[in-house]
Amino acid sequence: MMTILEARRVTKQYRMGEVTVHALSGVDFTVAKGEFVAIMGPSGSGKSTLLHLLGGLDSVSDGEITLAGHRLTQLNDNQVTLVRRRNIGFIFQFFNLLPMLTAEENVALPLLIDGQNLNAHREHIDHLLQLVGLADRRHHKPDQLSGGEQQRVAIARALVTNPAIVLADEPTGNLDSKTGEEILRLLRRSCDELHQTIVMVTHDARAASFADRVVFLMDGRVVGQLRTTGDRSADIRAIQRYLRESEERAVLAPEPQHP
Amino acid sequence: MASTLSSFHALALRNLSSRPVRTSLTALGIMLGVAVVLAVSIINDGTLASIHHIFDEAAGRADLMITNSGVIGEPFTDEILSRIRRLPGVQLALPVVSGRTLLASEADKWGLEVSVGGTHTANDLLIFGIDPAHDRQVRDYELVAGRFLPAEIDSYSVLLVDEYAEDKKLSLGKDIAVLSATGQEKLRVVGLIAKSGPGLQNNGAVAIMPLKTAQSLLDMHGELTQIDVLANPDIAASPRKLEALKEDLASALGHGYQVLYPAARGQIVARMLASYQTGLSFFSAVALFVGAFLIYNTFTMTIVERTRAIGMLRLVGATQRQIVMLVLIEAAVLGILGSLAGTGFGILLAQGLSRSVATVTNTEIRALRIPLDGVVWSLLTGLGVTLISALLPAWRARSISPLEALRSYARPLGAPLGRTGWLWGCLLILLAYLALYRIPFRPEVQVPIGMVSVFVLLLGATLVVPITIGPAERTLRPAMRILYGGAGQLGAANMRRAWARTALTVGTLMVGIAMIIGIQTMTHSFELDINHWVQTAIGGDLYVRSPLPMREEFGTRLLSDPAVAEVSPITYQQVQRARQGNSDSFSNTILFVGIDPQTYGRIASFVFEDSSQDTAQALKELAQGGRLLISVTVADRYALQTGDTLALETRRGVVQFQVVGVVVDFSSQGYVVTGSRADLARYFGERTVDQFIVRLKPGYDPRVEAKRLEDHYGKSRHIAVETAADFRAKVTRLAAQAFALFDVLGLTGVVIAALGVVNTLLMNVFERQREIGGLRSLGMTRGQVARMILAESGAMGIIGGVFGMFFGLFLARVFLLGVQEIGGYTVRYHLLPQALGVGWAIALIVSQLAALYPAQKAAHVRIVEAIQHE
Repeated sequence: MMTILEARRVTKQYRMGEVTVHALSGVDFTVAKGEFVAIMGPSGSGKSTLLHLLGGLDSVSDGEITLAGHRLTQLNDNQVTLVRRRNIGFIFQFFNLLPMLTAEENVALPLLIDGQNLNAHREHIDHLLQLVGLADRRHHKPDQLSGGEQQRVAIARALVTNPAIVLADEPTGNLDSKTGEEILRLLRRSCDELHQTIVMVTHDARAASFADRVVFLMDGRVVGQLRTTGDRSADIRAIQRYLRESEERAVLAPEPQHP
Repeated sequence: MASTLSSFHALALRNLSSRPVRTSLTALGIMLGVAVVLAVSIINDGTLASIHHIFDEAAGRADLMITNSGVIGEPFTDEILSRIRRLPGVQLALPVVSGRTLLASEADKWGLEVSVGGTHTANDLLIFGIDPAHDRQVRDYELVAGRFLPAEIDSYSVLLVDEYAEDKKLSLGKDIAVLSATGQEKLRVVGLIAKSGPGLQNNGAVAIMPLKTAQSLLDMHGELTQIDVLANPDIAASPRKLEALKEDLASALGHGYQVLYPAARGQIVARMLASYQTGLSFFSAVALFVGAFLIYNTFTMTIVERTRAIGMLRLVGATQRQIVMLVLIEAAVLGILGSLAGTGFGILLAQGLSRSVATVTNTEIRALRIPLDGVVWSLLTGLGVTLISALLPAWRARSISPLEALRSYARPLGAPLGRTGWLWGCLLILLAYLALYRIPFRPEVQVPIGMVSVFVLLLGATLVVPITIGPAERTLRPAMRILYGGAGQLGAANMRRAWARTALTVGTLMVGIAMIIGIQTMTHSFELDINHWVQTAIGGDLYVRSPLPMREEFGTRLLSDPAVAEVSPITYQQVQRARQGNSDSFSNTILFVGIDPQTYGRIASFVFEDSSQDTAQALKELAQGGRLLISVTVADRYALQTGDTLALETRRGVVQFQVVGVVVDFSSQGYVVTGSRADLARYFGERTVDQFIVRLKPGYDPRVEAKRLEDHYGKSRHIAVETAADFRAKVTRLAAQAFALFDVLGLTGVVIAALGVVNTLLMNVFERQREIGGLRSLGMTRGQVARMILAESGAMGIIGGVFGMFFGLFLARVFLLGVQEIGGYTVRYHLLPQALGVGWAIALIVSQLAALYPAQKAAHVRIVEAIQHE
């Protein structure tokens, strides 16, 4: 399968006052086209940092990231911005919709930023609104929509440019379990029906069970991965077991050494 | 989709419309700034255009004009007329004699008015003597009724302006009586003309008559005041040839004459008003400057508030340039809206203010012209100021990271230029101080540099404000607790949280208050100095004046009156400083005040710059002849001091007068020298008296005696008697009126600052909704919430007031310096404690009024919604 995203020996350090924090230490990570990957790990494991680096939101301290043929680590801010605009869709825990725009306008926003004629994309936008089940609420503004509806708008927005990859950061973190489940099904559908590549950061085993593969991160390193079977109950149990075991290994292992 | 967003940049419009109150307040600020700038520009243009129009029309088609080299209007011999006519290139040379008189019926109503250009009579009639046979080749007389003057140059016929005739109930075919040098003369009204062309002079109060008649009336036999020259058409068509003819004429006439382009006359009068107009323009620019603060503040706050949204836009692919453009487009839309509204409001404002400007400058402003270039300029200024003010916030928006979108709360932006801003502020203040007080610039750049320095000073002060917020808040906290209760303490503390925003708002208030205090202190200093000068230097109880020259013997008659203790004659004569280099005649025109050294000291005295000098000694020196006292302005302008000599053009050629003292004098814009009447007679041939100063014996009421003297002598001698108190009141009233306009502009600055306070507080309330909801859920009442906001605003008002006081006093010094530089007046600095109080009170009141709406908004925050507010 074709690799759409590749991270090699990615390291990220930053200073907090006097202390240097090693957020990521030599992470290798690849995602194939059409794959749905979940990144899991406890708080502080570096999973959000990894997502930020993969999305070109932050720069690496060392290593390389290649996304859809673009070496993000060698591009300037403007070039990274263009890659992000055309190749990446983002979904966040807090939806991040513009309050003064309607659902439909929020979905169209990335096309507007790209200077495209919206009339040429009308069908596509309609299709996405139907996909996320908001065709009849397209003229509502965010404060007139429920949390689940707002997140569905965010998903449609993430998909509108047909990006090479969608990066989702705890997309169900701010939703109740039923709504969260709906959102995850939607992501799964976009992967199955639209062959959309998705990388999702989560700390929830049930959310991770929707992915094709789960990558485990701990203390800034990839400590293992697991391929799901499609049997969700079994997958959830397997993920939870893996998490427990890797945590136990981490407690027993010596402190990681940083150069 | 067609009705929705059509482009990314249209997002800017959506941003504006989603915050209607803030958008309106900011646009209102721009509108007020642009309006005052445009209004002042329209009024200034109108005043200048009126002046030029009058002189242009009166000059008609003349290509050149010849006048006395000393002062325009002073007579010269008509013998040169034939010499001019013989010069090649001269097609026609027309003699003119003009002077002032009164209708005999109005002689007793004669009075003196004061304006920024000097004194002038209230109801005088201009005599304009022409050559009836040829004058119409140069000037157009629009006859409304009757006929033109007969061709004889000595017929007793007169043309009047129809409007004037109607006003004074004078009719065609009837005789009018006017005062003459020897008594009264009757003239037959043969025609009425429209108030255009030569009829525009003296606001229509003009009597056009044959030359000889005018000369006889004015006792100026064989004398002219002006010769208008019509050049041959080929010369008139070429500016270069005309300039050559001008030079030929000047060299042919030699010493004692000057050749001018007709427009120059208007320019000379216009320059008298220049200082006043520069002042108005300056203050209107300050109002716009305050507006710029408001815009900057608004945009900075808007960007803080939208940090996450901007981060999100960056996240989904907006480039830094797109973000900058987004902010600038918002600014441009606001700028255009505000400027358009400002243009409309400015035109209305100009109409409202023009009447009072007309009174102050003694210029009838014709129908206000709305200059297209002025409108375009003010639109561009409004737009430019808005864009420049938004540039820094836009630049800061550019640096917002996409990661900001992922934070659950917005991080506050720091103060401009970061934590070291105050250092920059101190540096700017120092620079302004040096430019204003320490570095001697060439006089012609001093005023623009002074103005720029004021802006630099205020900008520097604003940058210093942030570091004072913390200590100021700690100092004010107990007071706020007493005034507003526990909520007040909390409100004061809130000020420190968005300290960059608070600092800008305090800075805006500061600028407004500083303007008010600066203007008040300047006005006060002016009034004190003028009053001191009027009381000391002019002295006496009564002033006896006449539109016609008085003889010295009349003083003896006055002295024999039982109520009169002392009488001293004064003669005013415009003289010319001997030409040095290429300076023009205007800057060399000085008022020579001729006094009688024997009697003057008994009634009035001098206000010396050097307090060790005394009047008696100075009078002794003046009595010796060839000596002068010069005004502080003359001393400054020509770099003279006691012991130096001042060269004046006289009938006996250039004479060196010795300077025996420097005195304070406000007459004639400060360009005044005082000498003896004997010198005036000897060197200038002037023996008549313009004014007698009278001191009454104790126990006599000046008002009663003024009336009695006027009744007694008025009919026969056409005198007017004014009490010193009335004259003083007139001067004070003029000063008050002149400065009232400055106050209007200063107040506009305060109103704009108030809009800034409303904006800041509304944003604070919006940003702290969750917190306010939390406080309400903890049991804070609506009243307490409102008091918290009022306390925050009150604290800002107090700090803004303190800063405003300090810099206001500094500004007053700058203004006085400016008055001296551009106006010629030297005014000593007088502190006015009330001005400080007024400024401070305004700051407090504005802060409380501006907080009412935000406080009401805060008090009505819905608790449940607020605590869910993200």
